[in-house]
Amino acid sequence: VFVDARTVTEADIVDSDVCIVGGGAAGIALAVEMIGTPVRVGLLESGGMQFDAQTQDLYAGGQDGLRYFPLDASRLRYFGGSTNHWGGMSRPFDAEDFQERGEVGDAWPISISDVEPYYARAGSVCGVAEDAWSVGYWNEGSRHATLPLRERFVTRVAQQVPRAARNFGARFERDLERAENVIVYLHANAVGIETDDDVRNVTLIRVATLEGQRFSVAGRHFVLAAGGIENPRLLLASTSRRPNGLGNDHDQVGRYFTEHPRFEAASIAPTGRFPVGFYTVHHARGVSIQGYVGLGDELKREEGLADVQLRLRPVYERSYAEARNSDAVESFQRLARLRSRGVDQISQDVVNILEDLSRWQDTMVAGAPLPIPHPATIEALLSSNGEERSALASMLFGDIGVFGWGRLTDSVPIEEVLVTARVTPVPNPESRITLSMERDALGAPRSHLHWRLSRIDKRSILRTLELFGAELGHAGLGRLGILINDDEDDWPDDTAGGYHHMGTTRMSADPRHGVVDAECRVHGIDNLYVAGSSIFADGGSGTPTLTLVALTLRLADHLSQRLERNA
Amino acid sequence: MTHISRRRFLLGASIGAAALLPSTRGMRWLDQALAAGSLESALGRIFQHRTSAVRLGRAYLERRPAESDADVLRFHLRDLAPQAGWMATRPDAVHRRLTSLSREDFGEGRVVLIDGWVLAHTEARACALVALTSG
Repeated sequence: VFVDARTVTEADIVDSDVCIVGGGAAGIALAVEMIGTPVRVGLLESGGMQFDAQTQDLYAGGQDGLRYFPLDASRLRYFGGSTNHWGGMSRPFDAEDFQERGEVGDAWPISISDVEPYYARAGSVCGVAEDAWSVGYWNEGSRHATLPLRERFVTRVAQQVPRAARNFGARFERDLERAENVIVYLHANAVGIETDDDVRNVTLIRVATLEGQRFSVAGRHFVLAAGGIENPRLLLASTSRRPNGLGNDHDQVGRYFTEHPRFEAASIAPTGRFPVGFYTVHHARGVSIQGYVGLGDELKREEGLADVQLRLRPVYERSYAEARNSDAVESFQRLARLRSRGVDQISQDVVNILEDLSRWQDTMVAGAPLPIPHPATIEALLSSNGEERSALASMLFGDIGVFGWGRLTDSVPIEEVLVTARVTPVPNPESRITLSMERDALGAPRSHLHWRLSRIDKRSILRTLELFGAELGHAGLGRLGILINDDEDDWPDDTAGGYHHMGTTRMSADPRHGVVDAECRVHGIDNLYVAGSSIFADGGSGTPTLTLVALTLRLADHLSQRLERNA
Repeated sequence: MTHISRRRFLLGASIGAAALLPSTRGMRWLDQALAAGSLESALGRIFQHRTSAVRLGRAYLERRPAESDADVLRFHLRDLAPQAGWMATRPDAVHRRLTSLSREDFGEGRVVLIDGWVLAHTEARACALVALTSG
């Protein structure tokens, strides 16, 4: 059931067994998991069903340190949260991600065996097509081969969730609307957490709307699922019993903010045919996948390096890139979708051929004939009469024929392959979220990001590139040129992240080193939990969404069992 | 001692050359034989973009000034032409070894970074030798 919080009074608010703050990936996954159970769920979502600039502004905040996206531009504050702009790339964490890795990674208080049983379910929540991650499986199903590298290097595979399935808000809106045991309060901003006198239990969440309503929501258990910046912000701003904020007795809340910084780091000059297709987004077994290269765990440990992923991108000839991205091609793709409504024969044939070609696009490389007709050809085709179409079609098939020959003989040279490096930074306590002196429209202190990386992160990238460059030379594939300088304190201007906000309420066995315990419960507070990537002890080698949902499903099990025991 | 007149010598030489000329293989052999003689001359023929090799070689020597001596480099590159004589320093033989030794270097991590490029020691030293010995 959805309720507009702007239209309710405190008397309308129903107490819940589980009160969730935040309607993004974690909050929605948790609420959906509890549909049809005896558990009464209340979910507080700050936004409505659509983007709203005034609500989005509540995310604005200050920052210093490394350049980063403006805080109100790196996430979305309406139902569905940041899944509204999720790229869909998914891969679970590896066993090593949870282990102690000396200087470059802290151990989680849980292991892969605690999370693994939840990955398949998390995959279906996230819209991941297959619970299969071995490179052998995907390599077998792909028309592209992986690079012939020695075992010290690994290729990992990420699956891309189809666009239509990425938005949790759209996907689960109907289920939640029909759920009798779940109430979603829209436009309801959590602005404070209140506890009992000895700060052992949360008693209620204070809520405000931008229209001025104020009320409280009581519950038995509370779960913060508002994201890697808002979770610590809310804890730090809840000062009525603890001046430094809740769960912050050891000054850990907000620390260890991390991301997956990435930038163009190298260029490969191939010495011959360079099999890059597997490393571009392409279809295998009917699923959109992408491979990326990294060092094997043994080599990483031997060298003492953080995890670095290398993504490869062939540089296409300009005319190819233009053709591929042109409006005309898009209009042709639209035409393809109209096929079932009935178009004339020649268009039908062209559509069939284009569909075939779309499977080949990723094998195209610089210097080759166009894999798809030139935009001008398409434009002419679309606006031509029947007779002209026949003539134009032969031009089209001409392009296709030449392309097909190039593909068949596999003789098309690549001009350059660009390498994007993504590092999983070493947990850094100085990289953190604090509260700003400024206040938002609800009177809550804004967040402030101090974004830091460590020298070992840069060193890890440089050394990984060097090792990869040597490996390419050994395999006779080409030479690698590193495009970034070797100053370990200097990060490239184009350093960006993946909008992955992690680590700010990290999981730890010891309250002195983190905020939540192995059950995702805030150290020292019996009924307050955190869900989402803010609980990650470090960024991991996979992508965050799948793992944060898996951990949320694990939390759902924990809460259900606990409520059952106490029923 | 048999005396060969100038006219007979020229005739014989012409016939010999004529016998070789139609054969591409023969021409290549002759060409290589004439060019052979030293590792430097072989490298000079391998690196057609001589200016590039020289620049790369100089950059390498800036990082390794101790190797700014042709004899030192010849010592390091001795496996490029393991035997004396023109057979061992034929450009195609040197090229083959240069490729395989460089791949070996890469495999063993014997690399040098020159302006960010990850290069094998052997190939970088070969460039350095060209840089030191080219006029």
